[in-house]
Amino acid sequence: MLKKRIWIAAGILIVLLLASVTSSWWLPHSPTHIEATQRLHGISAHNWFGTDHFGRDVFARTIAAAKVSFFIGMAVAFIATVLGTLVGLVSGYYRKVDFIIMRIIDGMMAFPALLLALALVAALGGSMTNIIIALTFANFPQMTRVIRSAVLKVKQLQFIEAAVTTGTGPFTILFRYVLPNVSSPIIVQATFTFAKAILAEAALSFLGLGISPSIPTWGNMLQEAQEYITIAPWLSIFPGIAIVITVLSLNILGDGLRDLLDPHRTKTMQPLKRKTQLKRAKTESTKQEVI
Amino acid sequence: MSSELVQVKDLNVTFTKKHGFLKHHSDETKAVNNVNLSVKEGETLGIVGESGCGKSTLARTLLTLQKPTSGTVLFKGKDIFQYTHAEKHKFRKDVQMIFQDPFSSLNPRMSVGEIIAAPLKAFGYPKEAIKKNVRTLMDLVGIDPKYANRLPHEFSGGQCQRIGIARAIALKPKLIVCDEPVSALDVSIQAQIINLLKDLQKEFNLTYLFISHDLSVVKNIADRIAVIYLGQVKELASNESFFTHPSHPYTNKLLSVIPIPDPKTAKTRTWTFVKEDQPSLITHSSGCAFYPRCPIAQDYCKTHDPELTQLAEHHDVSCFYPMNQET
Repeated sequence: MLKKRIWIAAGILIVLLLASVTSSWWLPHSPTHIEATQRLHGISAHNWFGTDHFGRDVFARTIAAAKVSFFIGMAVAFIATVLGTLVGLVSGYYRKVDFIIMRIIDGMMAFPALLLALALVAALGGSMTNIIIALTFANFPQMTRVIRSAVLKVKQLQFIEAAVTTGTGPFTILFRYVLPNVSSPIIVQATFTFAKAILAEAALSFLGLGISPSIPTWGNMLQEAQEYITIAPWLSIFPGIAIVITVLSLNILGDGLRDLLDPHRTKTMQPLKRKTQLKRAKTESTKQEVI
Repeated sequence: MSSELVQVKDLNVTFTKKHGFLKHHSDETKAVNNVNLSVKEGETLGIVGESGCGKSTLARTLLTLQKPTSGTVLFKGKDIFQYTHAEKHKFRKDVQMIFQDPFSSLNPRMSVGEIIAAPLKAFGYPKEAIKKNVRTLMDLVGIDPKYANRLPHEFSGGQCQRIGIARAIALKPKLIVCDEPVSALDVSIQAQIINLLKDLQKEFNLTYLFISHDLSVVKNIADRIAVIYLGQVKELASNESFFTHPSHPYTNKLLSVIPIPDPKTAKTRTWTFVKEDQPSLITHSSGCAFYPRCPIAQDYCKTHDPELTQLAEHHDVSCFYPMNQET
């Protein structure tokens, strides 16, 4: 049941990503091709998701936009997770640096994440790299906090003390004893950050601070769509659905991975399948007969 | 007489808890209060006392997991708190610990083989030697080496404790501090573990510091027994003398509550409960620490603190009016 959920969520994400990456080869329309005569057409066999106010195909744009959203989400999740994990581990394990690091993190967390990202993008300018930097900066304090609290909990368990008494060095303790035992909050937080980054990018684009309008992203599609929401609702519905499906899949994936990685679930010895059991019983009984 | 491996001298461990506005009040908890003990090579020193009397703090201090407020611990004649980095690493090889909770003392994300190999790895053993050692260690503690790839949660409590023991003896230590190694186990498993510890002691000439709150367990394994009350050693005697002539009133109380297996005999005995609950370590006034709960307390005890004095050979007690003296 659990595995099924993970596979479905991962499948949706992989299909979406592959479709988006290979989109230039198979899409019937180019996402940026302007067809002035076909403006604001509804759903049809020719334009599956309709067309926008420049006559561009919404289906092509939605699929192509996934590439940008995924890249930003992945980059932000990866950088924020690595940074947050390292800082969180050090902060949770060493009491002395903890105080200083936590006050800095407190300062960063005092700003609402989106507002901080907004200010950074406004200051740095709206390129892809700057958006990734801004969103990483906005998301990494929370990551650090979550991992630090997990480390604090693990640190006082007896097996850490046991490792100290057997002469294990602090580096090994951090990476072989503490890190594996805080992996579930890391995974959950990473997928959550992934989803949040996609949403935040959409929000930034929606507010006009995102990537340049020439590159389709779900955010700037929604932003352009808001003017036409009463006469052409398909413009906002389809990118919206794409965001919902992606974020939902990511959250399900994160939850599922956490449960799957719980050591109490993994068994090195599986119970035998019924068929094999019967087979073994049979061969054993025949052996006895021979004797 | 064999040489002394560990000497604890005037050891004090005090925890201060600050409270109040601007933290200007502070309460002191004397978890270990002027303890003097010595452990000889090859013997087992049992340490008994009720919950919260400072047994575990004492154990942690001996492993330098806890810094003392004052006093020293000498290991082979050298102060363990003055060690250099290299000396401390070597000390880790000589002194190991067996923990109370068999489950939380094993890393749930490491296989049993890796757990037992961890101390060997920390001391840079070559890979082949580690593999061979892990197999022999697992055999030694009675766990089939073919289970080396399993995770700790796939084993029972008794088996986990065996794994903990295998890890503790991996580096061939001189001293093993056992912090209530059997209190989390069933009685039948307790006996197995105690026997295993005894066998290993014979084989490797180990020295044990065996902490327990169960006198019947200590009777079984210890050569000498120290009774701790509120961080102080109240009685220190050889096993035989301890059980035949328990001199401190607190020891007598402890002995009187050991469960008797035969219900008929159990019915006939008179219960002498310690009426009041253990007084807080924080509100410790002058005089004997046991005074508030002592059945034979005199006025003198209220104002004077007894010191650990020799009563007979191999029998020290810290009481002005010792009971059951040898004649």
